[in-house]
Amino acid sequence: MPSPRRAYLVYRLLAAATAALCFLIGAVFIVAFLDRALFQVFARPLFDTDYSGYYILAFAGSTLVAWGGCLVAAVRDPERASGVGTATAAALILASVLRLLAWYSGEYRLADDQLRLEAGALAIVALGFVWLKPPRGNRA
Amino acid sequence: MSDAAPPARTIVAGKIGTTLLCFYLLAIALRVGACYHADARPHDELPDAGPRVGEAFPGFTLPDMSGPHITLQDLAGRPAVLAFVPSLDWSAPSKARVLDLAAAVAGRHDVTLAIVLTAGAATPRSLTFAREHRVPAYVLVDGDGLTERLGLAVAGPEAASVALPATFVLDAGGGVTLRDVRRDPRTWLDPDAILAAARLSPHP
Repeated sequence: MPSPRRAYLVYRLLAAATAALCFLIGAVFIVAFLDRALFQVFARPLFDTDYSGYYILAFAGSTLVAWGGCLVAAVRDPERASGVGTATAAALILASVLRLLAWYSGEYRLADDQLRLEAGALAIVALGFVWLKPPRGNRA
Repeated sequence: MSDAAPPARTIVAGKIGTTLLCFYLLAIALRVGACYHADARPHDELPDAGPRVGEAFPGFTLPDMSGPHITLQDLAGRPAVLAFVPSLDWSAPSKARVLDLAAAVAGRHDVTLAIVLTAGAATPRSLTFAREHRVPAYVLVDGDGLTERLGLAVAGPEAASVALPATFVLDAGGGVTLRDVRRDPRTWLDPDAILAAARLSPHP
């Protein structure tokens, strides 16, 4: 069992990596929406969907960016923001379940292995958030 | 207001429960491929249904979902794959099978793919599926009783007649070179085996 400081270090790294991914993916979604709606910089649309799909992408992107900000709080003060870890684990488990349902639906056959890989990876990362986060209110 | 932590037992129980859930999800992710999949071996679970290998496929005239009527003669001149599908609405394995076939024939001009749905199975959602995924195939709606005449019709949901999952590979002259007829849509013949039966390379 790692010492409390080492556990928090790994937790911080995990939260930081997840935050970075949230920022990156959220930014891509927002840029795609802005390109589709306003600027049309890219020669081809980034995503194969209609205007309402891009609107939903923009919403998802802003949600991801906001959640990345919450994860930054967890990096800076893991003890006070331990609820962020719990919520992130719940979100990752939900994302894993959705990917398995997407696989099962048959509609996403061409992303067969990718969906299964992502579902497994998300479940593992969720485990990391569950076991590495510090107990609430426990100052090191 | 004090910020009291929950009892230690509750926390551990929550962690253990979540861990078990994550391991369960991992197990599903590893094994879910067994739910439905392609296999390389043809099956013929109803030998009396449909034409046999070497026989000519019976003539038909069926409307494509885009409007024009397609006859057996329209498929002549190059190998054709006729895939009878129970549904593209409620049957997830059938959707996966059609997408597998579509991926195998995409961009090829040396083979024709035709998906056959009974009229009862040609629901708006089925047709939307074919359109959204831009399936490079004729999607034929059998309102003429072809499926029944071939002995491939079974009762589906809501008393509609649906087709058994069957695949017929025809040569350029309309003769059957391979047949694969199954009762269970959860397995289907691998597209590479289908192309091999049509004497085509899997890689164009």
